[in-house]
Amino acid sequence: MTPADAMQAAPAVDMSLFGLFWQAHFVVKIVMVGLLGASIWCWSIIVDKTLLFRRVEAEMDAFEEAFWSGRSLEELYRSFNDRQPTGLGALFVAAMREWKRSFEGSGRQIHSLSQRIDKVLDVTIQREVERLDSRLLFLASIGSAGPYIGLFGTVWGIMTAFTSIAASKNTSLAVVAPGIAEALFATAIGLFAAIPAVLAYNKLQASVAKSQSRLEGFADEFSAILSRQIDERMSLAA
Amino acid sequence: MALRWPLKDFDRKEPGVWISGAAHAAVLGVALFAVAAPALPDAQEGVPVEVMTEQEFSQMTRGQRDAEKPENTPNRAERVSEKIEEREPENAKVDAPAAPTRTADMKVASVDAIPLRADTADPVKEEAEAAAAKAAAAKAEAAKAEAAKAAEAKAKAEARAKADAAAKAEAAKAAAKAEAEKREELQKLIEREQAEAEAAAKAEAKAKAEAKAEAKAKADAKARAEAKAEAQAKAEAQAKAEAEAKAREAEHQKQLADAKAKADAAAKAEADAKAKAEAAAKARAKAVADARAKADAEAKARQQAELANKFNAGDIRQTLASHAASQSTGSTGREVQRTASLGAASGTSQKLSPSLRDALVGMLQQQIERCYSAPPGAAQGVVLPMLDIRLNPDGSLTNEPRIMRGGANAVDQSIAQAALRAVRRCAPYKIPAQYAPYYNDWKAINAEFEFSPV
Repeated sequence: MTPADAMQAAPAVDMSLFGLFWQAHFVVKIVMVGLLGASIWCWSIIVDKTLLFRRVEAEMDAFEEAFWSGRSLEELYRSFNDRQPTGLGALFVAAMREWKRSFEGSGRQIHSLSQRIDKVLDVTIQREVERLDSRLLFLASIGSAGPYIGLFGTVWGIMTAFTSIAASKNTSLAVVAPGIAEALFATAIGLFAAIPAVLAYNKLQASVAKSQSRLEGFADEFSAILSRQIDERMSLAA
Repeated sequence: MALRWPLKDFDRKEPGVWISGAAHAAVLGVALFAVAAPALPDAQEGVPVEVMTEQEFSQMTRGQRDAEKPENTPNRAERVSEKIEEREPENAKVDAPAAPTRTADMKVASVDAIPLRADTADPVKEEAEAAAAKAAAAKAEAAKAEAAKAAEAKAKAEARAKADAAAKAEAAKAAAKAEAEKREELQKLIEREQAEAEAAAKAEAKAKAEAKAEAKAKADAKARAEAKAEAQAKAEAQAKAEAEAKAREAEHQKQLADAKAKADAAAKAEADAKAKAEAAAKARAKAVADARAKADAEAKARQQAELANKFNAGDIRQTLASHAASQSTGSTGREVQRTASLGAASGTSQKLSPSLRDALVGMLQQQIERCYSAPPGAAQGVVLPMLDIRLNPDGSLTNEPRIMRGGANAVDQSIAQAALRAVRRCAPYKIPAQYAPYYNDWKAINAEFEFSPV
């Protein structure tokens, strides 16, 4: 086998991205497609969440402004109850609803009202945080598993490349290189998906924590206000 | 809400999927069409490497085992010539082109300029000299004989001989002077002439001397005869007187002989001295001529060397640029050589297989073991001795066996030495004929040998 034959034996390689994908082994193709899908999904989550947090932040600011503007709680409740509120508004509505229910009936059940309101506030906080937190786990998963998945494709591709070396009995770089390039392409896609996922996960997690602390702060504050009201009414009644 | 795929309708609050999908499509599109890998240059191997097995290599380099055996006197002809003429390849028909030309002033020393070697003896001259010496000796003898017989005759002869010698010496001196004066070209001729003249003179002298000797002999004979006659006449008369006379005569004769011998020696010494003087004169003349000729030749040679040392690029270029046809016309002979050139006698053609090698080492070990006597007190050593054995094709040792590895302690060393002795003692080893083709592989054997300590 002369060098010229070896040259012919080495297939003409299309080194474009599409070529790399198309010549890859079936398993590697699946890995690549899966990682590309994961990347798309990650980015859609990142976009959605970023928008959501921005919106939540704005709503919280607007609510706090309205809450501390001096308007009566009844009035605020009426204005917020109509439109499915989120964030602080949801907390306020939930607590006010419990309050109203306690005074609507014939008997006034104000002995354990403050405890009930606390419970309602806790549940509402949980629900809100869950809403903010949802789908962030997917980012975390992709961030940690993406490189491994890509590595799997790479290892598989390199195995294939070495098999082809063994088959052609030719160690020239022209025979080895395409397979390795294909294989490395899988790792590249894995990293392409994983790096933004990890960064976004950390950033969004921090935002969630911030929102949660803000919700809890407001809940404590509002709970304090309501319990003061209850105590006043109980002393009046007594 | 987790992990749902919100593609059913476009949600204004959650446009992430669409944005992400579009962005990915855009990135892929850009990567495919704009950032596509540039066309790689054709892969070229830096060094053309061909992977081949050892068998293939061995096959390639193998000689031809069943080829025609080359003749002992190889006929190197390439084609049959019309005229049968053995011509070796190196002897071309046409002379090879001349060496680079010399510059015009650089001439080979002309033949006439080279002096004949002056120190070579001239046979004619020698002969003449020898004749002269002989003549001189004869003359001297004759002169002495005369002296013995007659004082006058002796004196005359002596005078003549002396005159002759003086004349000769004078002539020789004159000739020597003339020689010294003359040029080297003429030197030889003159010498020859002189030698001839000398020879002529000597021949004359010789003839004279011969004639004299004859006359002398006759006179001698006469005198003797007379003396006898007288003695006979007187014998009857006086026996005592006769005896006395005889005794006296004998005494007289003895005295004569003594005188003659003395004269002889003197003459000889004279002749010797003369010859010596002549030879010295000649040698001096010759030395002068020689020195001059040598100086001339040296000067010429120096000039030539200087010229030859001068680098002349033109000559080289001329030689290189010459478009003359190749001078080689090939070798011719009675018949064309048809014998293929065979491979080397011991190429890298065949190698011992591991099993054959093992068998060979076993065979050697078996043969060596017969001559092996364990060193006293040595049980089994720790390190088996590894020996380097060089063998001839007939199984004899090429050179002294050596210990490649003998162990460090004394027991191992002594075992190794004992093994070495055994190898030497058993020397011509029997090696089966089937191993002959592999000689190249087993001519040097490095193997560990294990001998039972008998």
